[in-house]
Amino acid sequence: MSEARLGLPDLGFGVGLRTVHYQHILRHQPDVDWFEIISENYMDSGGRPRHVLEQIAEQYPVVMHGVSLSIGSTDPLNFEYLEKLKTLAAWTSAAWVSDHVCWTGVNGLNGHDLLPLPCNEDTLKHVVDRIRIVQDFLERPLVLENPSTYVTFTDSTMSEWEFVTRMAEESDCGLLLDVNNVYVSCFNHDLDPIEFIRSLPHERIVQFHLAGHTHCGTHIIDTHDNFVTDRVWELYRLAHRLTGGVSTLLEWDAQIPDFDVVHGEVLKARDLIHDNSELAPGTLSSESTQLSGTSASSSGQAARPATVPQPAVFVAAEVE
Amino acid sequence: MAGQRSLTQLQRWMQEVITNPDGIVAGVESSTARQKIDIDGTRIEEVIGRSTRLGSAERLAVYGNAYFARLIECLGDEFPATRFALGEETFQTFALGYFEQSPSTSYSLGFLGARFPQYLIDGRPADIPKPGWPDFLIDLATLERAYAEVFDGLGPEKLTPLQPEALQAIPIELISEVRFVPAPSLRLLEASFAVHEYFTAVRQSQSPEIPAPQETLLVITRRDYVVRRGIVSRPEFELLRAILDGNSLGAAIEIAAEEQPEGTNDDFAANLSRWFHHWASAGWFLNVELPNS
Repeated sequence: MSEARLGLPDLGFGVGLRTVHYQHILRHQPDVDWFEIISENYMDSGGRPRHVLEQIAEQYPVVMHGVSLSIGSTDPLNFEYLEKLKTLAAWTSAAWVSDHVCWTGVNGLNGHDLLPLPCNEDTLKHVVDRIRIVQDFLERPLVLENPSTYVTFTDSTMSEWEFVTRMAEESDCGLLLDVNNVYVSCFNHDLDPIEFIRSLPHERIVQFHLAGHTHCGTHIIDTHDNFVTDRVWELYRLAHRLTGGVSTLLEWDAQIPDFDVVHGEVLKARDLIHDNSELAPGTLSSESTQLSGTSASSSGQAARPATVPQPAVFVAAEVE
Repeated sequence: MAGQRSLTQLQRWMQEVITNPDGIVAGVESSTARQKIDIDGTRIEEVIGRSTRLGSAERLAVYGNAYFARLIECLGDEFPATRFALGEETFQTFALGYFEQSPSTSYSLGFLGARFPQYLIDGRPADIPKPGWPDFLIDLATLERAYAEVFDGLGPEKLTPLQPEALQAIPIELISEVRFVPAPSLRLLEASFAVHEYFTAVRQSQSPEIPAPQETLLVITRRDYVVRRGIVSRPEFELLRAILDGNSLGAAIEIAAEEQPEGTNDDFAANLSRWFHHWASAGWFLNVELPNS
C-alpha cells in the first residue's frame, strides 16, 4: 500500500442518511461534512429515495455502505449485484464503497444479517480471494467493517484482529473500524477492546463508525437506537490517536430522533478530539441497560427480544 | 486444526439452525442441520464457544431470534395497514408462515414483501364466502405492495407526459389504431373493499373497523415522487385496463363498451372526452403510438 488510508480523504464528521431526515436535509441543508448511504436502498430505486440522493450527492460527499455483499459467503459472488453497486458508485461519485467482514446467507438465501466467520486460514484465503475479485470488478479498493458478533466458533484459530489485519494486508483493502462493534463484540466474547484496537493496522483504517447499542446484561446487541456510550467514546479517542484521525460517521437506525440530535451526536466526536479535553459530566450517554425481556433464549419464538441487531433498514412508501 | 469443518459446511449448518422457527435446539437437531454437522442439542459447544455469561445455544439464539424478528419488522413496515387489521400476533403468525415458504433471496429488503399478497391468496380459506374478511386482507396487502412498488419504482417525473397536441396530430382515420403509452408507475387495482380508505385511516393513527364490502376500482400512480390514488367508475376502469393490456384505442373502447350496462352507451361516449382530458392532465400517459410508427 503506497499511502495511508489508501489515499482516501478524511471527510470529517458525517451522518448516515435515513429517509426520516430527507425533508429536513433538503429544506435546511445542514452543515454536515458528508453522508453515508445504505447502498442496497438505492441500487434499484427509481423513486423518491433516488431523487433525494441525487440532490444530496450534488451538495455533499457521499460514501456507500452495503449490507449484502456477503464477502465471506461460500455462495458465488453476485455479479448482477456488483454491477449495480458499481453503477451507483459512479452515479453518486462515492468517495469509497464499504461493506462488512461477514456472510449474509448461503444456498441463495439472504437472512439480512451480518453473520460471523470462523477466523482461520481457510476462511482468510476464501475472503481474500473474493475481495480481490470484487476490487478488480469495482476498479476501486473495498473498505470492510468489523461487524458486531454474538458467537465465536471452535474452528477459529486466530483472533478477529489478526484475521482482519491479515485480510487487509493480503487483499490490499481498507478497513472501516466500527468502534461500537469492537466494544459490543469484545463484551460478548470476553475480549479486551483496547487490545483489539491497538492490534489493527492503523494506516489501513479509512473510516470510523459510531453508534449506540443495547446492553442486555449477559450480552450487548448492536441496535443503533441510542446515543454513543462513554466506553465507546473512550475507545474512539484511542482509535483517533492511533490513526491520526479519519472520517467519522454516526449511525442511528431505530427510534431515530430529529436530525439535529443525530448530527449533534457525531459533533461530540469533533469536540472530543479537537478540544482534547476531558468530557464534562453528563455530556455523554452512560450505558443503557435493558435487562427486562431482552435476554437471549434458545427456546424459540416466544422469547424473541424486543431489540433487533442491525441491519434492518427498510424504505417505507409515502402515499398521498 | 484437526477435524476442522469446511466453511461451506459451517455456514449451511448455521443457516439451518438460526432459521428454524422452533428455535436453536430444534434447528440443531433437525435432519437438515444434522446432514451438515451431526450433533444434537447437547453438543452445540463443539461448534460454538460459550462466553462467561452465556452458553453456546443462548449465544446462537441471538441470531435465531433476530432472523424472524428483523424480517417481520421489515414486512410490517411495508404492510402497516395489513398488520393493523390482523393485529400484531396474527400478523406475526402470517409473516412467519410467509418467510418459511418464501425466504428472502434478494440483496434488497425492497423485494421482501413481493410475494406476500400471493401467499395470502394461496392460503385463503375456501369455505368462507366471497367477499369475506380474507378478501379484505388480500385486497389490503395487494394495495400496500402496489404502493411500495409505485413509490420506489420507475416514475414519470423525468418524462414528458402526453400532450393534447400529440393526440390532435393523429389523422382522424387512424385514431382508433393508436396505442397509449402509460407512465411506468400507472397501476390499476380492483378491490372488493374500500381498502384505500382503510389504509389512510391507519396512516392517520385511527383505529378503523374492517369495512363492509364495496366494489372499489383504483388507479394508482405517482407524481412528484409521492404515490397518488384515485377512484374511477367501472367503464373508465375497463377502458384503462384494456389500454394497459396493449389494445389499440378502438379495440379498448369496444371491450369497455361491452361492459356497459344496457342503455348507457350514450353516457359512455360522452364521458370519453372527459376521461382523456383527465388522463392527460394527471400525467397517466406519456405518448400515443401508431402501428409501425
